[in-house]
Amino acid sequence: MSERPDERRIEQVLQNEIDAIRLSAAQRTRVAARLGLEDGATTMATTSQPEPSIDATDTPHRLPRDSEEVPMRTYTLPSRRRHALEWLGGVAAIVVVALILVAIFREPTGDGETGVGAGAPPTATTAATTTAPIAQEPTATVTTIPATDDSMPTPDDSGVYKGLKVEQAQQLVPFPLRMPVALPDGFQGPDIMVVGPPFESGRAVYQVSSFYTLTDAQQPSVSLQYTQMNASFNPPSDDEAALVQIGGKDVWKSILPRTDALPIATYTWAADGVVYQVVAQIEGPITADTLEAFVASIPAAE
Amino acid sequence: MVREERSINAGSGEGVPGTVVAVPDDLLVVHARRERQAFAPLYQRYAGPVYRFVRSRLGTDAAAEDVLADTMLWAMEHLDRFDPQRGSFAAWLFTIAARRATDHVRRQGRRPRILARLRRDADTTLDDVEESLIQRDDAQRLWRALARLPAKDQELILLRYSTGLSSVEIGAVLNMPASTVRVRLMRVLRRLAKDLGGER
Repeated sequence: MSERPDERRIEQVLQNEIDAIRLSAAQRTRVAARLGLEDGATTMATTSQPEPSIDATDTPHRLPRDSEEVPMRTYTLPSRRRHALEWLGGVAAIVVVALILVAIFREPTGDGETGVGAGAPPTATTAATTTAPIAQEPTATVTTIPATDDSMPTPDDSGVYKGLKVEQAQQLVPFPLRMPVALPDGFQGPDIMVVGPPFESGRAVYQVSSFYTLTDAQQPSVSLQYTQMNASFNPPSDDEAALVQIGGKDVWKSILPRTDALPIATYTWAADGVVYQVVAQIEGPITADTLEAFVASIPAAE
Repeated sequence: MVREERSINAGSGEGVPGTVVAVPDDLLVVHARRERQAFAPLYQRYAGPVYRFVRSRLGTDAAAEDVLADTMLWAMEHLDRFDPQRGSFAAWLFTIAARRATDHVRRQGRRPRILARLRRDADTTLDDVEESLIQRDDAQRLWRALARLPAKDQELILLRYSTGLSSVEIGAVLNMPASTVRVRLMRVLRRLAKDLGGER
């Protein structure tokens, strides 16, 4: 601003100045305490099976069995993991999951208008999924979705349907499920979980999470998660998110580096009132390219 | 690569696969209405932006922390007043923050100490000193010019550059149409440019 500054220069200086303002971790924790909120970075209630500590010594991820009970318990995360990005990538997600499950515990299963299975079941967009190298044309050689099972599993005590097949999940939700037509090489799935409804008064919101797991004894915990939810969509607020075109879709891509953990990649897009998200930890055979090919194989909204 | 025995869903527990979906604000609000602790994700999402806004408006860390706490507490206890049909949660929250900041200024009985913000120069190297001083000078003159603006214009500028709100959302906070926000923002920037030019 040695000469008369123009508006752009003012905007630049102003933005730099304001961006330099940061809420410190200590301040964040102090204010949370004043609000009576538990410090989410250290303790939170959630539903889990035995010993789900999220430290690096965790047991491998395993999908639930129908017969397993899901007791309430509390666990603690080490305070050294309180890095902001770590928080965004991991702990916030934990809080959200815990809250959703807590809400389900407390929520009646809905009325006749919003109840599970109300109305005619929509048709699944994709009826078959194949496991094949992601770069190749899908083949029908490995995994196909079984025929419709008339015996719909019952939800667990928290109202969560688990271990569903695509067609079973489709019968529960009022929007067409869009499933990938090809999987990364060596992955199996999906194992589907449906949560809902309703989360919002007057509006039934369902969350359909599909889990794909690598069938590799050397890397038993490598998995990726694909979620579909008929909720309103807010573009990601983190600075790292970038809007990219993948498979004819405008997708928000974010790769979240973490201080003492592998980065998490997230791909989010929305269409026809449904939010779609693919999330995986970048490790082993899961690379950004792999995930983008997976995203590309999910049909775009018509 | 060293593989970590950690699932991306570890937080949900082994028995209940979870999600890392960026759950929309409206949905989080529904949960938070039922369960006080469920406000935590909203707090985590917005504490930083709200603090940035009130800190730039009030000028001191202590005041900004107080107003952040007041804002979040009020929002937490009055979530039933938030109507998603009338605007976004962010706009609603920043409306509260703006009012709380204004109340704070009134209680103090003086104009906002907008000049008091100190910049951290810890990362500045010797080679950057000259440039840093120039930038510092620019910034200080800018903050002085901002402090001379009417309170409403200060709010407009700070909402624009500290919150990430859209023009529509800023309009909701300031109770004016989005088109007015854009025009007024341009005028304020021109005025700042003129003021800063006149300072030389």
